[in-house]
Amino acid sequence: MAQVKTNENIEIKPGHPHNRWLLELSLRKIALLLLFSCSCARQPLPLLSQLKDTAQLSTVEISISKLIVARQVNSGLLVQLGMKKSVDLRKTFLANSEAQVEVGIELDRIDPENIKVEGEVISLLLPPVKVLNFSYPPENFVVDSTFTEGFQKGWPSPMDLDDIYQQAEMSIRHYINHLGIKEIAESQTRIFMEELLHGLNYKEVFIEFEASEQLIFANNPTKTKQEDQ
Amino acid sequence: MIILFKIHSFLKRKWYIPVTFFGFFLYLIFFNALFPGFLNSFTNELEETSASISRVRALGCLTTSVYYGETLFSYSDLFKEQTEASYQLAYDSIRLHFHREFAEIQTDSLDSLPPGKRKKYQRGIERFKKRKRKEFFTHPENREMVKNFSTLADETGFPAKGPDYDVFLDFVLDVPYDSFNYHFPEVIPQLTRKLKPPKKDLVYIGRGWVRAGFDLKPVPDSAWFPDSLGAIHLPQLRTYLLADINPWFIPELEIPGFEVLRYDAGRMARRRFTFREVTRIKMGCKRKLVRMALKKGLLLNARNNAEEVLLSFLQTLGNQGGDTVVSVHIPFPDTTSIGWIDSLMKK
Repeated sequence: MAQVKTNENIEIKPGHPHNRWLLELSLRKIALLLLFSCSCARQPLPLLSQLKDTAQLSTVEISISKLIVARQVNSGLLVQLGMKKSVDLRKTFLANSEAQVEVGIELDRIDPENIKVEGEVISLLLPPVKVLNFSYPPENFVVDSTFTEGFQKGWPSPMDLDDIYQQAEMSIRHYINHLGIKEIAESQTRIFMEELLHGLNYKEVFIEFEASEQLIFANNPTKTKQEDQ
Repeated sequence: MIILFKIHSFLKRKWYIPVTFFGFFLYLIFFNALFPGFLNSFTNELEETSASISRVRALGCLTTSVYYGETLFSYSDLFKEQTEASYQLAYDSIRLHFHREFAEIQTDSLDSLPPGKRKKYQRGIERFKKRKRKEFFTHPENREMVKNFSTLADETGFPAKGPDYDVFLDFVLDVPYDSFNYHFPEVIPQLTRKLKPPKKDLVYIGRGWVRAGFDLKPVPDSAWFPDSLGAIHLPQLRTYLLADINPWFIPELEIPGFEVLRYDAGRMARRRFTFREVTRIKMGCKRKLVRMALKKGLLLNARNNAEEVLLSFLQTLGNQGGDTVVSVHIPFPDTTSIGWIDSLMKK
């Protein structure tokens, strides 16, 4: 019979190089513990890298422009004691930005019961218009270099820049309901559907929308199609 | 008691040790290293500025598939892309330069000349070509590039070896860049590897989506009517593809679209990034996201789903005075022409 060598014969002492992984493991555990104890505020990431089927008909693209003026504000102890100013007016970040919002309807939400055909007359009750895509791409930020001396004095760093752009996006999202986008989108959707239905030989077309108070953002990667409905 | 006495005597002899430690402690506090946000705590604040509608554009785009994904892109990736592009530019410029020079000479028809003069002419042309080559290769930049190419001769099987510029030139004039890159795929990566890597790095993680669908605007009215078999054919549909990575990926969950993974601005932060560089890295993220989405079969999925969506949509609407729709046919999207996608990204 062939002898089978087992690892039991090898003695592993605490300081032995074979045993170093034990030490590493414990260090790793401590590091993980520290990490998780610090990062409780962050939500777990949704499922990414996936294809999702949709049926979104965007009928209008609206560009929203916004001027970004950002400053670095200090609120530390030196400012509280009056030894330093809270805002350094020499450091100003100025940029022009443009967001593109696509608005339209979701075709799979059209209820067949809401379509009434009488001869050559058709009346439709369409689902409410939604923001189908919100785009605030990095190439649409044009930094005004005459005002902004940044990157030479360390502000804004790329991390600060991201923070500023995130705040700008939130303020645009906040404004969306006050810009009259819903009305523009409804009229454009009406024009598009009327053209399409005239093409299908309907002489008279009546279109109405389901009542909704605010514009809703349609895309959410965390939700499945069933949850959306 | 003995311990306290020992400590006392130690401090008496070496008082500068605790003082140095205390000084160092103060120094750390002052430069925000020990308790960040204690003496100076900085936040970025936006001034209240208004947002206004600058443009309204009518669309008719049907989005049928969305890809959600995550990519990494770094400054060194950008550097690699740029150097590869610069090599291609150099290669093409040589081809263009010499082809133009030689094309002008060859327009003269030598056959119409008497045999004695023909020889003389040919010799003149040879001399002219030689002079042109010499002029080109005496330029230090060109010399450097040829040297770079020819040092790789042994490793990659590239035929131009040593300072024999004529061989190199003949090769370049014969072979266009694409087929050169196809036959010697190791040359350009080797060349870029030999360059000094940049001394700074910025790695971004980008989370976003790519939307694919079809533009319904150019479809004529007559196309919406089915043929005798109840089929609708829509060859006019234009593919529509848009990638987006915003500052926020999901604002409700506070998940950012762009996040810095690694930021190294060199020693003492002497090599900081310009706004333009940061933007280009972010755009690189987007380009990579599009490539990933196409690999996952986004366009095919969009096409298959569009057929279903349009079929059910047309069936629910019905049409006046026509047959009922049984099927919708959309041609397969052309995945070979990725070039237009890149041009889309650089708008």
